[in-house]
Amino acid sequence: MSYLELSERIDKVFGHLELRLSLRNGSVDAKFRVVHDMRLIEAVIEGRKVDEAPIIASRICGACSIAHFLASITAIENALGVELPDDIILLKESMNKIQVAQNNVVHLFFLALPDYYNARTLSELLSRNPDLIKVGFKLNNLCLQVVELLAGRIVNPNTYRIGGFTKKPSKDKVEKAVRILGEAEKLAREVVDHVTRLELPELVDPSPVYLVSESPIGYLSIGDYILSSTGEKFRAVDYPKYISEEVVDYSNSKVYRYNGRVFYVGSRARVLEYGERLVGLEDYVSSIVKELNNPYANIKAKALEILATIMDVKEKLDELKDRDLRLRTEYTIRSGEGVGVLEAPRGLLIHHYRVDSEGRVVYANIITPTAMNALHIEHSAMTLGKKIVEGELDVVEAKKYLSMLVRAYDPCLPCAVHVVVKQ
Amino acid sequence: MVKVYVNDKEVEVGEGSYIIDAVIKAGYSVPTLCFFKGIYREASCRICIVELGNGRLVPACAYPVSEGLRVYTNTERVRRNRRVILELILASHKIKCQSCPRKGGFCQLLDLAREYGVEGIPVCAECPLHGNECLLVRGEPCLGPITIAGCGSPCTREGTICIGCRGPITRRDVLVEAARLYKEHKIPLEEVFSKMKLFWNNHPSLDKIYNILLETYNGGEKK
Repeated sequence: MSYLELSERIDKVFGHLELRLSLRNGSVDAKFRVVHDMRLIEAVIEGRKVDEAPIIASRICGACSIAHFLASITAIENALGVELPDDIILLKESMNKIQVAQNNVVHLFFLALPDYYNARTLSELLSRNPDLIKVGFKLNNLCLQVVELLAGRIVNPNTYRIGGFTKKPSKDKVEKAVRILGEAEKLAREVVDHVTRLELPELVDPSPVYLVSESPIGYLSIGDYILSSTGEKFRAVDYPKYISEEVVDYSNSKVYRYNGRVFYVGSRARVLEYGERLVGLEDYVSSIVKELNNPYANIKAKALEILATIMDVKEKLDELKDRDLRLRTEYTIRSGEGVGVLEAPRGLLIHHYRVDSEGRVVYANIITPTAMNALHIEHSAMTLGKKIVEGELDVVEAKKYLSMLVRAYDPCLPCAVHVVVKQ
Repeated sequence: MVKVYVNDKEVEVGEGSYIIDAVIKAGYSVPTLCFFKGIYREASCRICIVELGNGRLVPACAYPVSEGLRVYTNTERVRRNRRVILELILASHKIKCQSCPRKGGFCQLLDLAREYGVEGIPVCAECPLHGNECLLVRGEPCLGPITIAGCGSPCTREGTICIGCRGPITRRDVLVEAARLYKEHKIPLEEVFSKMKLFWNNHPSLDKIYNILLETYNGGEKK
């Protein structure tokens, strides 16, 4: 077979990236090139006071600022040895969950779904299928309202500081949030009904290993461990022993391996690991779980998560609205090391800080889901490439499926670019 | 009746009336601070200046109309001069917002400063409007006193300190007042500096701000 190189600038993702697929004499190679400029946020955080680190970390990403903020603050709380009361943890997790829902809505409707209706852009889909997209806009809006109620504003939360919330959310606020979530739940059901019926391109996950952060109770709660699909469970602070990082010359993002293997993080992993905990959604889970070894099925998992998180947050808020909450705890500055892991909208997120006795961050390491998925995306693309070699796919179709594949992972490139090449 | 042209729109007003009457009749507006119809017409704040056809700038509240007078309310020159006037008014205003009787209500001066982009009103001015507890009193290094207002103080409203994302105020009088506030509440300046570096690290006036704050903090007000 002759030489063929496909180089696709993928649109409808956050940031800039290029996927290069080269087929030469039957061998297939794929490169996930992040061409987004380097951001080096870790270097900015080093040398700052502990209370400033989360402020900077939340600026990593406008879409999932809450995830970065919470991971950062959890890492620092672990480093300082802060013991949090249950009420704080509950509200903190609710903040993260509702943000996952909102991000998934944005990804599904505005980035991924146009592909499934042969529309090149959102506006094209809007003119063709206005009812569907309107549901997306409405749902996004409702989720953002709840985000604002819990986090203070839509991006860069300002209601939470090390050691707890600054103010108690008033009863009105919580009641309003519950009301909004009730409305959102109905819409989310429509969405799940719709998306779980979509027909996906066929592809088998080339490396079915996934990592997911431990969820002690329920779905998407914040724990101290990382679980893997191979049955291994390790403390978050021990992640350097298991997850190795590597700088590659073709991309501005690092690549990661788990015990030397290519792995996946994201919605698919979460549903596979914790799907059985979704009370009331068993039918949906069982209907999509067979498909979840297909990377494209990420969008189905994401749709399911929208409904699951909205229901969960609604229940939690409803429960705590009449209670007297303890939302602040004291802490003292001391030296230490802490890792914060949680499930960001795109998968496992790790923030790691070392703090000195004066309360300055002396070491920072941030591992984002997109960077961890980089190799997995390459491998999935190679599987597609093999299909071209075997003649199952023609090149025009392959191009379309390649961009759909990358979009199914929902990569966020501004988050991923934290590379320092040491001289 | 006298025929006047406001922004090239023809209006008729009674003899002996003033430009401001014609402007309002024509459906335009000019900002006013000291003017109070029937009670005060001394044009002491000058914020209501308008440009005449011959290029003169006159206060609309106290300049009588004449036949065929051409008035422009919103030229670039007018806006530039209003800005200067606002800065001059603010120069003797300092940070009085915390003790202002308008606290909790609305402030025309603040609105105008925002509209004309005059730096010099700190976030503190907006903060009490939301009924917030002052974070300086709690001993936290809030950048409210030295950050440009206009954001609506979303951070202090939620009980977290202002981190200065809107940029610093570089006016000396405000900085001196701010340094006094920090000193009064025993907030170490190092902490304030540390927060300032979050967003203002490359600000050309950062050294100047540092020095003014340090000077006042360490030596009381400079004679």
